[in-house]
Amino acid sequence: MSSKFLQIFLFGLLLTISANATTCSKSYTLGFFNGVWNTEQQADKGLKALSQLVGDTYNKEPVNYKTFYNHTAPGYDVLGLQDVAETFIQRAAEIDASGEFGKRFEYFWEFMGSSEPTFIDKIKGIFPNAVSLFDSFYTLIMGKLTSIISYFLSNPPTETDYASHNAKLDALAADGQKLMLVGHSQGNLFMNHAYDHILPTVGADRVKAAHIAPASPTLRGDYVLANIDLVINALRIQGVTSVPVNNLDINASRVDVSGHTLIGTYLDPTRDGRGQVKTMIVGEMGKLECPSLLQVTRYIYFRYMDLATALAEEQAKLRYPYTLDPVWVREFSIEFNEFKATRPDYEFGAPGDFCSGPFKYSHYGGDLYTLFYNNGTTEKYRKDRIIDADNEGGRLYYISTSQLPDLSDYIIF
Amino acid sequence: MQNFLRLSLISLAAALLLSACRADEYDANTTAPITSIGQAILAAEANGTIPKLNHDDTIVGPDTDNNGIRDDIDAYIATLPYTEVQKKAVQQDARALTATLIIDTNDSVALKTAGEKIMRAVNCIFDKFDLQIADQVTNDMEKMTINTKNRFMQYEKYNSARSGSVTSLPSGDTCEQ
Repeated sequence: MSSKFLQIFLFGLLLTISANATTCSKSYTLGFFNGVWNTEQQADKGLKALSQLVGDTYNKEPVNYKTFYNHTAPGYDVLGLQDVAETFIQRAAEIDASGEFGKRFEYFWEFMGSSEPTFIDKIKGIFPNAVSLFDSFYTLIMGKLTSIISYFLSNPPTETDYASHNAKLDALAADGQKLMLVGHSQGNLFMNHAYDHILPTVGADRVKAAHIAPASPTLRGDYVLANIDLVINALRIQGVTSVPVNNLDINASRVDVSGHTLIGTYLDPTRDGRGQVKTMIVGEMGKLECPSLLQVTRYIYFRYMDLATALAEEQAKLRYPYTLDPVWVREFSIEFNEFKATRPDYEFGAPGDFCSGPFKYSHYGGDLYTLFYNNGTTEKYRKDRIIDADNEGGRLYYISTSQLPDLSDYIIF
Repeated sequence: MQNFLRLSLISLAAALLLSACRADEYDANTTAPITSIGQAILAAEANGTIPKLNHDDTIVGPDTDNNGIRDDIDAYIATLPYTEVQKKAVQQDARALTATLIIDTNDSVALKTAGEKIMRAVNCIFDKFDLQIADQVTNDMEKMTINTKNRFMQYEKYNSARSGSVTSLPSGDTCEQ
């Protein structure tokens, strides 16, 4: 082992299994990606409503809930909420020269809201001519809403928009969480990206997606889309044919004339959407599985030791009578300073952010490094599991996945 | 003479009251037909059908008891047909929303704290009311608190600054006592 080509030998038994979720000691995280023009409070309300739908536990394991908030607009003045507000002011001035209407933003929020427009209804009651004027507002807002979603379909959010969400997903993945991602409206575009970002890290067993009122042309999981969703229907009229077909038939309601809001339409307890959304999310959660031993092993069992010790430690993780066979084990090595590694079934590529120079120290803390393989996949490694070869020496082993039986019943978590 | 004096005083008081009326106030006793949305709004506010809210140019508005909630919203919450526990939950939301209007949006710690307060308030209200009422109540607090262009612009600045954030739903009771 030369100091120039510092060779680090690690130990790892890489086992691919399909672990049963009921035996997993970890928990679920449901991440909610909010719809267009939502304020933070509206997004949080959506998350809370979803938590009441799914519950605090699933499969006897805790479910954590997080709002992945986006307030993104193509530009601060174009198609964002501020643009809609400016439109409100202009139209209000046109239909009420006194200016009283335009300076009362409580009416603006009622036009945008998902619940009973109580003030508007009362004005209609004492001034019936207001009905057509207010209807023209609704039409205007619906047009804006359709425009912004249409815009995002052809101009998706940027990496900058996604960055902080990605970082959080990485942390949740490292924590072993099973990830249930739920998107509503424009939030589906953000969720699709989140799913694509975290999939290589956790694998398809540990992340699932569910779409509510998807405007996105591609889906990552099951979806619910109502026949009365005027926003999605308007997209179709505009020629956007890539949206999914409706799969929920419900009656329209005056509470949410758009037929598009999360709580007002899709989670409305008086209509069928709520049940269908629950079935969809729970169905997808049912497909989530524990972090496989492969991933657990990668994080936990990279050790410096001889094969016999390693086998004994790995064996201790499995229930009797399962026995690891030493003939399955292969050795491989990583040359960190040249960013090269070899393994019979992989040829490692250059890991761009693995480390920036000759590898010297063993315990760095909890951050993750990424190995980029030239077959397009990546793997995350914790810094503090990597050993200083100069001081400790050792070897890295793995077991070819094709040689492993299903170990579900043998794992001790 | 005494009657004349009394009449004169009453007339003077009435004249003063009339002259004190601002342009955006409405005579609830008028029988003139309503011909515009503006008139309809003023009439509804004058007769109490719709709460008369503060629309001054300030961001926070008057808060004489310094409880973090605008006085007119305080008064509105007091009229709601809910239990005291429920009213406290509504106040918590109003307070959390008002706080978003006055924080420095360049202060990441303040932003995070404000976001967590919003989440805790939402969690509390949805635990104290049925879904649809919780949705209605929180919408009402948002529309009443953020009810002028100035307040809207500040709120928009806050929400834009929070874009990209990830906030956890707390477990347990998050209602303030």
